[in-house]
Amino acid sequence: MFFARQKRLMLGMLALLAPLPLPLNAVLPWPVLLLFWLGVAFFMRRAAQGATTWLSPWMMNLLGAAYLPFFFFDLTVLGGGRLVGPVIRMGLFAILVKLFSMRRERDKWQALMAIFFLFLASMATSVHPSIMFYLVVFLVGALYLLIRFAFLHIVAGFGQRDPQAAQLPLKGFLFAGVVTTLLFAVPLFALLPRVSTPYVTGRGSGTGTTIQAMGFSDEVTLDSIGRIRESREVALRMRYDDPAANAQDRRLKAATFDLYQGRSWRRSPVLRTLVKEDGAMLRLVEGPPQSWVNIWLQPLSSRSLPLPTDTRMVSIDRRGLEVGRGGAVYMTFPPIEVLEYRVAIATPEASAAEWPDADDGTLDTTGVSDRMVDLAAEMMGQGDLESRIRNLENHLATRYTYTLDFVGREGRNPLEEFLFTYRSGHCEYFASAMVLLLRSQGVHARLVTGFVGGEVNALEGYTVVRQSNAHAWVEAFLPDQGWRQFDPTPAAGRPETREPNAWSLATQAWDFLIFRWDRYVLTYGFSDQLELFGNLRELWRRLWTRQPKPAAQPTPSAEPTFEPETPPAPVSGSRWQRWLWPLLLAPGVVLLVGLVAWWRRRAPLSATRAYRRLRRELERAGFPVAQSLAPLSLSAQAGERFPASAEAMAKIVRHYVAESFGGRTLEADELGEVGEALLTASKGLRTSG
Amino acid sequence: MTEPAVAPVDPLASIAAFEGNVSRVIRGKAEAVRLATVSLLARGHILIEDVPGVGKTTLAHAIARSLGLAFHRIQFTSDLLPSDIIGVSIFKQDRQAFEFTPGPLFSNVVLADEINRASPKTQSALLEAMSDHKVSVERKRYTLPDPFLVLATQNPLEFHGTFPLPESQLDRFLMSLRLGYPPPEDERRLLLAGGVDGVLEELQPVMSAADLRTLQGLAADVRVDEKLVDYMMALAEQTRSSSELLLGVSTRGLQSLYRASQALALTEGRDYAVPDDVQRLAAPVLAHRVSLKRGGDLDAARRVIEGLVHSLAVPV
Repeated sequence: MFFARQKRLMLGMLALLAPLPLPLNAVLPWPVLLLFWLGVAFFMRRAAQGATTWLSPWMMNLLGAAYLPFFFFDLTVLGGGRLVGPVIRMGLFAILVKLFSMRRERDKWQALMAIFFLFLASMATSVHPSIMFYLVVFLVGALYLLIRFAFLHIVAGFGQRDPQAAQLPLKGFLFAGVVTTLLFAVPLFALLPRVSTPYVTGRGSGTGTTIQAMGFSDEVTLDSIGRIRESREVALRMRYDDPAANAQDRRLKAATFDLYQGRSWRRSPVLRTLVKEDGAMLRLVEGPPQSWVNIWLQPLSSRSLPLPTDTRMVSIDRRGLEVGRGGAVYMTFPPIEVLEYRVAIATPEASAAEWPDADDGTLDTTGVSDRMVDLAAEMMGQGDLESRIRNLENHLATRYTYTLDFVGREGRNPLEEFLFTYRSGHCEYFASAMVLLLRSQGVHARLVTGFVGGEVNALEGYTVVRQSNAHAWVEAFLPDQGWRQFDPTPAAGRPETREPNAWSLATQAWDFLIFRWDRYVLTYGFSDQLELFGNLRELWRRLWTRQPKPAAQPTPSAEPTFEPETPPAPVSGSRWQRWLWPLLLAPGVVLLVGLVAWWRRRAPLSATRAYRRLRRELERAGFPVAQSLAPLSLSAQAGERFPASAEAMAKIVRHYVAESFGGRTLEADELGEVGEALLTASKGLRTSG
Repeated sequence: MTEPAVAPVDPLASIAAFEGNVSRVIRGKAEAVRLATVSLLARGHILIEDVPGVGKTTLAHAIARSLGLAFHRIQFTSDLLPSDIIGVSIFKQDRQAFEFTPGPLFSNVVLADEINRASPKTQSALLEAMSDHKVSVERKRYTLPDPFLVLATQNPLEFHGTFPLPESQLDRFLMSLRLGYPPPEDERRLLLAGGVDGVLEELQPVMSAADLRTLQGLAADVRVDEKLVDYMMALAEQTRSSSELLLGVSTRGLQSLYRASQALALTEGRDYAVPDDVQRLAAPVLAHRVSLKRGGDLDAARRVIEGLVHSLAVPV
């Protein structure tokens, strides 16, 4: 068919543009889109070179069939049961395969339809009005290309082979696209109000970690945390205003459990609904805040709101928060997107606490056997209450071993088997056993789940808390101090604050990018816009009034609440930060420079390249092309052997010698002529060879 | 020498007319005629090495007549003196002074027949004229007419009483060529027509000396890409390092190849030379400049050169 090269290039361009909004909606991860773009770029390169061998239909069907298992894997594991992502990924693959296997005219129209549906999908999942801008741009571009497409059809119908305006404005199109996006779409994105449509799965859910099968959830059995101890998925990220606080062994309390049911725990009943004070603050504990921490919670399948154990106030844009009897905060529904909240923390003050009710379940002795009562008494020994509890804690932590290996444990009473038979388990066994042992001695105790420690990201100094940081420990009531934290798990089994090492730098860099993307694109919302507006107004005011910059407001953490004997701990990330940024940027810069160099050096279609290709094609057709064969002789000799291609070959050679030895720069239409001649020549060579 | 920017003549048309004219008498020798034209455009001289009676003189005649130029034939013999070809100064009684009477060399086209029969002294007089386009007589230098083309012939089969030209002198010829016998069909037609003398007499000039000079200027302006220069140098290097050759191509030889390639490109209607030109000219331009280790005639040298051309990669 005529103009095959042109049409392929046009379809390639549309395919490049169609899925662009998908990563912005978190429907598609960027790496997948990059892969797709690489594939299309390869396709366009081949098309521009005038390639004539494409995938055969049976190969296309084979590839399609081969994708099906991956689709199911994608649907069940990677996509976590959601349909949108896997279907769109399958669509991208299908478009790629279709592009590479286009032969007849019908195939091209089918590819066009597929690209259009992909575009519709990327529009339907849009979350932001700036996407409308893209919609207009894409439609204008598509319209232009379609008109060209139809035009080529008409002129081809008249037997025209040589298009006058052969070159597609690809480079200009991409450049203009980038520039206009930066000029228009970014401000629109930053300033226009965000909209959510019912079709959208939710902001942040694409890169978030809603994991049905595994992960921190409300369902707490004795094994639920042990199961996720190997998971590297991010549960939440937090950043302290006072960076020194990062290094400390922070505990985030997610939920408390009172009722043991033989194998699993039931959550403490809700105590009260939190009411916002002066607009935005939710106060949990009376007293002034000392420091603040920002938390970005990934969507977990849990209603718990993890909070530092020394939380005083929470600032969160969410309604219907409830406090359980154990002091943990719960949401009405598990969030479906990244949730950002700000927490005020302060060192707990020791004070005589109110004695818990006798019927609040913290003395419930379900699951306690006689042997356990004896064991508890033996372990706790004598002394005041606190030292007896410490004895029990130490006993469990030192005499029992931590394990995640539970092969062959099918017993009826797992805790008793843990205490008397196996003497090993993971944190939930230790904590549950300690709760029951304390209760057997009349001490109010409950199970706490949450997160301990995390990994400090050296790039920005925030802490990444992963599923593997999930932990269970114990709260016991001391009459003079209130509820205190105890952790009977051996030190080896406790999740710890990890220091960054060279190996983890790459993962940290990646996490940094993901965090930024989550923070400034996916969860970029109304409050950010307000802040931006505020900053802009401030900038505007300062520009016009020419006032000096106001003195920096002391932040809450900078208030003189520091205790002189505890100097701020050195930030663990600072040593890395000095050279990490250049290190991280260097490959990017090198890549960019390389790309630019490649782009500049990349020879456009030239008669010389066509001639080289002709030589290869001749070799393939069984015509030996000696190194010493000069162009005109080649044209004459090959023309004799392949009369069908003689004219086209002569044309290529003529242009080649003019370009290569005559020093001429060929015009666009001459290059088009060369391309067409190359196609004709190759066809002739193949039919006669 | 300044040439008009725009040639007043259509180069291709006038070259075609010239070649057509010459081919009327030199039948079936298109390649030889083309090479002679190239030589003419490149301001070079031709050495024709062939047996008598195949049309060497006719070729020279035809070229001279087609150009409307003065033509002289000098039959070289062992007793020929330099003054016989250059000319002599004769004392003129009436003016009481010596006056130079130009010899047969003072014409545009000179056929030096059987050049290897002359003594080295005479040969060198001719060769000086060929390279400098000037002759010296009694401390005075006389400029030869322009254009100036020497067609020298030598008989390769006769060695008796000859003084073979040394390599340094052979180097002054732009190319060596063989006419060879005409194809049977053309020979037959020639016989039936009763020779070409009548036709030769009728030949009219189709190109003026001024036109020729213009064309020579155009040829000198033909573009030779650097790749091609490298290719020529590589070829010369091959001859210098070849195990079959005692003596490779000189720099002058390389220069000749360059100029001849320019002229050939012009005759083919191009304003740039291509590798094909170099390959086509390699044997005629280079073969007489090399000497074989094992000895052998011009044909053997041509075969060696052809072999080198076939072993050298063309720049793509």
